[in-house]
Amino acid sequence: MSKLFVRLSSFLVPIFLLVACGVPSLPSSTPSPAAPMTESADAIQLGVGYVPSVQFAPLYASIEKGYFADEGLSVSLEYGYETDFLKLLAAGKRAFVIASGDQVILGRAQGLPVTYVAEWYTKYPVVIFSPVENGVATPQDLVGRTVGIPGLYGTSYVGWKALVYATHLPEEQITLKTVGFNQTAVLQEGLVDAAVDYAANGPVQFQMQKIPTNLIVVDDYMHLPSNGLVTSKQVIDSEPDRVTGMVRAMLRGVAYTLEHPNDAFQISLKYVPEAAQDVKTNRAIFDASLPYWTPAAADALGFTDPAIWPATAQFMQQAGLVDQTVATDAIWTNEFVEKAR
Amino acid sequence: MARLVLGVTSILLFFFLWNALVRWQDYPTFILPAPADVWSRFLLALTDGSLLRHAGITLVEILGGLLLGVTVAMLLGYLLAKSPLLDQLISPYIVALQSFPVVALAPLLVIWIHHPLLRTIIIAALVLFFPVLVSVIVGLRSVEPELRAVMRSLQATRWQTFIKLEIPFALPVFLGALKIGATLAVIGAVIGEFVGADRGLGFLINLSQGMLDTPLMFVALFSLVIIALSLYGLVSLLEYRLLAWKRAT
Repeated sequence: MSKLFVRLSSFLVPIFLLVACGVPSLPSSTPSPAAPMTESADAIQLGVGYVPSVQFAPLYASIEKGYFADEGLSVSLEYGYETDFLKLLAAGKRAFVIASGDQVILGRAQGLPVTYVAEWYTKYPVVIFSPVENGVATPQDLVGRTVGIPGLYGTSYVGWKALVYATHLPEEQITLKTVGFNQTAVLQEGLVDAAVDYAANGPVQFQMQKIPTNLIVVDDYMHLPSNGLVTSKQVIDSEPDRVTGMVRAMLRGVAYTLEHPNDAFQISLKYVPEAAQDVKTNRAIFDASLPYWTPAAADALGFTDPAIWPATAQFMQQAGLVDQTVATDAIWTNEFVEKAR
Repeated sequence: MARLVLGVTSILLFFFLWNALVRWQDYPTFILPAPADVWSRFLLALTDGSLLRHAGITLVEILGGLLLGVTVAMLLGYLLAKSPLLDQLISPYIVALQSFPVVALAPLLVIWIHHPLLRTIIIAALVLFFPVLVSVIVGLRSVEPELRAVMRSLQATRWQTFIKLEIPFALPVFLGALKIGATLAVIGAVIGEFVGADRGLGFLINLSQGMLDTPLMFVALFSLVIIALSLYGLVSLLEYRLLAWKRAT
């Protein structure tokens, strides 16, 4: 037994040292306005929660067309996990990230001082898709069926819970099956009747295989704050002009992409050379993404709807995604979008 | 007694230093939670039953993986140690299999093997298989030729040679490999739960990351550490008992 204690301690001490060396050094909890950022004044690593993809075409366009440079900013994209980037942002190790509104609410629930400053995706991009032959055309058709989902966390899960919440689906009568990121494969194998995925992923793969597909778009039932530019309270307080510059440059990229989709797609191929090896599929992914970037009106570009934030926070609490009431007052702002116009 | 005191002191020192670091650097909970935060989260997960439920699943997967991986490795290892021809035929494939990153293969296994528990057991078995296999082969081949000659001169059967000579010779190496295998099975189970699982400590880590709940992630990590150490301790105990004869000689 005592040997076990010695071994346990010898195991724990290296973990402690590893953590001690690995965790970022934080600014003080109440930073002064002039507190220096880890990133240099003009070089920004913009964290995006995925791998290189034509789905980031507006950001590539902003870089390529010099919109960031016009604001005196040098931006490069950093690919990884949205939640990791939010933590880095809150820790003062990044100045900006792209994250969805629900993740910002989750972050706030855990005490992360992060703020959503500009909307990019105007619709939540999660859908429930299935071959037409499965007969799942409406949310009610899901009752008694098996639905595949990547995991019981993340954007897909939030989208699923939002659909259940908004349409009052009897969740206990639906079998939710965790399938990883293999939605199309498990659908084709007949292991599930429908699957939760991003609109530009699984449904596009079905489209490429000419499989007639039913889509249940979550946004048709509940409007959630989707991907947008997120920064920290520290950056907002210390460098508001920089925030305005980032917002303006990003929105110029989105506008350019919507106005010149062919050019924007070509630009993104430069940034994602692998996509050039399968232009057809990647063009379909790009085209499937465009409706999710298009604002209801041209002058609404970048603005987030104030009403959706408290509604989303309430839904997330009732769905058990957060365990407390999250105040949404400081979670989002349209201030910088207005300044950027 | 002195060892026990040393062990307890070391653990207390670890938690003291951890807490001091959090206070000194003023780390928020989402970066590095203090031991008290992790303890509170542990109690919460324990009282609502979720921790034991997830840990139980992971333990079943680990033990299942260990049983499967070790059994197959022992059988195959014996055949390869005995047959140079078979060794030449099969070894390249086994080495190739070992060079496959299981973490890359795991998402495909979600499609190939539909039962989540069986899938994770197989992934755990795959992760620990190779080191155990190599140890079995090395152990069996370490038997000195003179001793084999003695067994032959005594007209020992193949079974008697196996029981009386080969097993005792291979046992120290095999038990060493079993210790490694026990900890690798933990890693394998977590890999399996990272892809396409909705229960288990690996799933809990994923869930806590998705919810930015760092204390819960620490609870899951420490639970894995405790499981790994317990298994390691059990194998060590087994080793102590089974190799008593070696200490006596």
